[in-house]
Amino acid sequence: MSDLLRDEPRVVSAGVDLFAAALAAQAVPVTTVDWRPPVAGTEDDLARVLADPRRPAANEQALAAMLAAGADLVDVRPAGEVLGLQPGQFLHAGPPITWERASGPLRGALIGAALFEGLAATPSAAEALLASGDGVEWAPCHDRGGVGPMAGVVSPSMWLFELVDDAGGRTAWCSLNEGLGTVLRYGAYGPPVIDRLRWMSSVLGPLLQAAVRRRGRVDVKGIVAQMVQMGDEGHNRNRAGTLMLLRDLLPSLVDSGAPSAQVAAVAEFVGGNDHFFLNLVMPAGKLQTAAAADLPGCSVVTTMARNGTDFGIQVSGTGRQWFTAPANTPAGLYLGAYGPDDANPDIGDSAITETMGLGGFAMAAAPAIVRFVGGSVPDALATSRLMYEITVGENPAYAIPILEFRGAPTGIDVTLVTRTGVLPQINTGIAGRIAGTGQVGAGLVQPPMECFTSALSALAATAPPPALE
Amino acid sequence: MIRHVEVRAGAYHDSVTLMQVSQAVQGEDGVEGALVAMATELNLDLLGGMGFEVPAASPNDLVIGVTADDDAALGRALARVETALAARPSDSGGGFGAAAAPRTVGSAARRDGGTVAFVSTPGRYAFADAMDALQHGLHVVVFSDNVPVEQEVRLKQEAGDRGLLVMGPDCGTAVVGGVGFGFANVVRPGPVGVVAASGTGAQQLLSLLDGAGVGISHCLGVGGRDLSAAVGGASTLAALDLLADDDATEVVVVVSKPPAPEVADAVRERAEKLGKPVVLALLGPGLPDLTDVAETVVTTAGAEWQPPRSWPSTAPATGRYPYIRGLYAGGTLCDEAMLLVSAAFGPVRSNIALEPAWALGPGLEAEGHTFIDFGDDTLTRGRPHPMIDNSLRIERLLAEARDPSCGVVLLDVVLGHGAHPDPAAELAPAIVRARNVAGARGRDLAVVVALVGTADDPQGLEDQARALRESGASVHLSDAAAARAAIALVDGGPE
Amino acid sequence: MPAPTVPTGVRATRPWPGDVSRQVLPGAASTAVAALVGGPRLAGEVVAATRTMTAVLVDHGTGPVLLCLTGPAAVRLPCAVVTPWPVSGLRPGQRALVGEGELRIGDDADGAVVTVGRWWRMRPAVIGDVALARRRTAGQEDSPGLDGSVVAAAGRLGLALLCGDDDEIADAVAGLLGLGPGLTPAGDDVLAGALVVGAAVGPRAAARLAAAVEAADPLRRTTAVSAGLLPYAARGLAVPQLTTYLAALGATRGDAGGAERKLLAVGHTSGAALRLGARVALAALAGAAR
Repeated sequence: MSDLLRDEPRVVSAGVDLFAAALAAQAVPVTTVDWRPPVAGTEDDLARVLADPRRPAANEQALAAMLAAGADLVDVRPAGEVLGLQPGQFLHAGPPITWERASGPLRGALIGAALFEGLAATPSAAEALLASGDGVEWAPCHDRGGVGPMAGVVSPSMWLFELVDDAGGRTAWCSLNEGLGTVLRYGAYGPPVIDRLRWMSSVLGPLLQAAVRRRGRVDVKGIVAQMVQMGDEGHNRNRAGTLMLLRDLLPSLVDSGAPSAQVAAVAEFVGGNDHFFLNLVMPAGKLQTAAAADLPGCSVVTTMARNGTDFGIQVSGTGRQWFTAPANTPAGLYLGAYGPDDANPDIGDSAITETMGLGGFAMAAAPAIVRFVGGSVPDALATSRLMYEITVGENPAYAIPILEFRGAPTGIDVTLVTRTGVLPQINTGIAGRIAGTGQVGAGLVQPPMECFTSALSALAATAPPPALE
Repeated sequence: MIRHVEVRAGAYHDSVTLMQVSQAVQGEDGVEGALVAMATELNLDLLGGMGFEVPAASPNDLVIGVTADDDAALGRALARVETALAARPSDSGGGFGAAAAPRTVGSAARRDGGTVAFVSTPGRYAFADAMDALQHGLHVVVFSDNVPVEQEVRLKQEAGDRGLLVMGPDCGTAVVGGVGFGFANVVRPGPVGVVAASGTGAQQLLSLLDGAGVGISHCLGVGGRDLSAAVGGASTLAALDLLADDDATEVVVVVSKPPAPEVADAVRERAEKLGKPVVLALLGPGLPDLTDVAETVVTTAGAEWQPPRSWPSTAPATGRYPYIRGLYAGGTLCDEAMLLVSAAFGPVRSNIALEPAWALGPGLEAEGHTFIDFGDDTLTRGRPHPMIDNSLRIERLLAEARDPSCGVVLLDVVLGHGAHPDPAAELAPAIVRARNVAGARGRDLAVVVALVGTADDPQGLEDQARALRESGASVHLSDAAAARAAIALVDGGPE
Repeated sequence: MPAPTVPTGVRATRPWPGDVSRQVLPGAASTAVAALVGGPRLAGEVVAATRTMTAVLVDHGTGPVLLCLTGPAAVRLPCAVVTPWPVSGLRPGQRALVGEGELRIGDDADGAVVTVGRWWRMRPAVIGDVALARRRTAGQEDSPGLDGSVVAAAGRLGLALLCGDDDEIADAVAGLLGLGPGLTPAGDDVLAGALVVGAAVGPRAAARLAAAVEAADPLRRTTAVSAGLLPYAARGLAVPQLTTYLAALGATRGDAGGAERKLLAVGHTSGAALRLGARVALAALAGAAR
């Protein structure tokens, strides 16, 4: 803090430019804020939240906890074992949703999971079962401490990565990545999809388990830190991360005693899927953001997730309450003959990567993919820089080389989003609208502002009334 | 072995550069010794000690001495001198392209290490910006008005907890060190520290002190409501503490309307323990005006008081002058003039009336002695402040010229940072026009100007005064004197 | 309040009419030179120009006075007019006009106009508890990076201040003036440090030293910048790093260590030489304090 009457002033000016110019004319260093009014109708809630005396310390604590959180891969096990998930129980991406409101890709993934679990023999039987709700139920992955990409559907027989954060004493999980194209998480459920899931449960899962147990923990946070230096942003590009994981696991995989043909198949599957590591970045993000959760007065966003119909966020100071609004449809580039009409609204828990400061927030680190999502390199730099305006701090563990190794923008603050009107930028895959289609493209998307304004209102309601003099 | 000596006249370099250059040259192959230094006598002796023939040179010259094995080595050495002297530190722009402008006060503060925030955003939003500043460790000047009082209380509580000062809300003027914030006059450095709950009141006081040759250490604005019961004088007390510890401040002045009684006690108590003379200048009916206050401060500071300058009108007073119409930009100046006019003639109608019964209707129709504060919140919504934009006042001036009941127009012209760059250029022609309009109707319209400013203000005090006088107005550096001049013109003088 | 619609350039900067080649920028003057800048116009000359600083010597009638234009990042000299960015491209020998609130350097083709829009307060050094400051500096090791000859000459100055006559002080001063490389040779910095301490603790001894320095004709013996800074030092005016260091030394709870690190970071050896001069003067003059 400066000594007001002794130190030379350095002024920050917000509002009327004339006064900033008058200061500059006095040879005073002035930084002019590119100020604009907050999102319409938020000023009273903003005043109440910013007046909350708990907020500064809570946000500081949230940032410190997020930066301290580690992420080690400790085991690979079936969901039934990890979560006690019973037949007929499913988990999915995003906020809670009914069958009636569920999008095509989510319905498709649930149908595929029901087929995979043997709950129905045909897609139409599965659909009827799910629509009837008879003996089946589903809940958000986030509510069970985990995350799933795109539809994010998890059933008891699917295998999960299990990660721990020793600093916070928490665990998180994520499914194994199926690869690109026609896959369950994009809502496809044809026979090749189900066959692949069977192979993943019978070969991929057990072999990864053997390798991890034989080798010991894998420092996922360490790999994420390196991948950001190698051109991955951890959401739409995970190539370096995937190869580093394979490098770390391969010796113990080879040494596990499994048949060499299976080892080769696993190595080929992992190495041939540039997104395999996404399913480890995501639970690392879940561990990081969970460390900031449930702090009274804290205005940091701990979850951004979509179910294909709604976009939902959670905020530290309001606990597990979801703030939802209809999800936007991403804008980007399409595969083959697909076009915007085929696109489903935004879907998946993978926005946890942006919530942790990667993905769209670390776009500057991944110039190689800017064209893939329909952008340019200057756009990528500008996007990452803009995200610092809505975050409470920087994560030195995830340093972005081209920004002079500035740490990734970390800790989205609902008050900063509503004050500036700047929305988080998310890099994402695009799922087909019709159940069973699969991936149709990739691009950029933003959450609906309403999620943030309603979270702000709820946070304002938790703020203590102003102390009476 | 070659010895090379050269002198470069007036070629200055700092000692770090010269040290690095000497080292770089000595590191060249075939170089025995090198000295690159400013040619002070002692350095020339050193050069002589190294076996060089000492050249004629002054201490402002650069001398280069190199001992090299051969011409090639000498060439390399001298080239090295050139490149080393020409080297510039690399530009650390921070990666590719320019960073986007900061969107919040906090972001700007983090980026450039700000120490003070100046917030002039609309009042309903200003709390967020000011709180952001405090929570990033910045003192804050809140120029914005219309900030709810409970938000003001909360801001000042936060500032108190953090050891920071909130100036405002509705702080029009502050001078910290030599830096003027908002509407501020350019004042000479000196011993008087001002705590002001009124922006234009502060400007009048600063200008009168400066005119009397008494300088200012700081002028800390606290906002018009600071001494109310709700706010409790939080910023006034904090500002007094700051000035108590400031070795440049020898005399302290507190300028405010009369505070709430319990707040007055707290301020008086703090003032008594300050260890420096404190002039409590409370403005109101029956109390000294700002010019009286300035006189008290000047004598307290040990200087000699002389009445502020004024220039009579170049036009003789020939007519009847029924009523005064005050067209003000500064609220406190308007208030001060109304108090004097009311003491002389009774009721004064106004949009900031002294008595509720004297309030003007929404149409601001003049009736008898009428004063309008064009800087009042209700008249600045959606348009610039009248210190920046003269158009409303000019419009009204011409309207008064057509009103047979208007005899004298009294207006303030405030100079300084932030104010209109040349107010007389707009007002003087308008005054001429207004007087012509009245003259065409067979009346003499007297115009009296209170000119608030210092000799160093960017607009140029003398130029402004001259232009206004030449338009036919009388010009007074004291608002109170201007008001009295207007009173004296009115028919029959004071009752 | 809505954004006003008037042009944003207030008149505090007054460019010369029709002048595009010249640099026109605002400045903030130290209170030590505010009167000079605000007074009647005087002629001067640029005596030094570096990347971060332009030094002007003004003929004040009673003798030349130094005034420096510096950028915001440069060391804050007591006679500085600080501009928001460094003035570039000026050359020694260019004519300067100082006064009426402006500095005008050079001509239309390549010059600069600095309009002084405000002042900043330059405070003389104050040492609260002189005995404490002396104790704290007593065991100090000789400043690293300083040439042996500088240290030895500083020692002679200390001895002369403690028990020498005017001739011995004059000899000591002569041995320091202009000693060392750079814009402010280390020997001059030692003298400046001693002068500042003298001004703060022992007016009489300080006056003797100041008289000896003046008699030695610094402008002939050392760089103009260095010579020009010595009169300010004799009034207790120095770079803030030295003032802060001396204040911390003399305060029971002062962070003398932190202040010392910041002082030593000034220039290449300037900070170390200032500290050496201050120590020598404290040792010699503290006993004679008020």
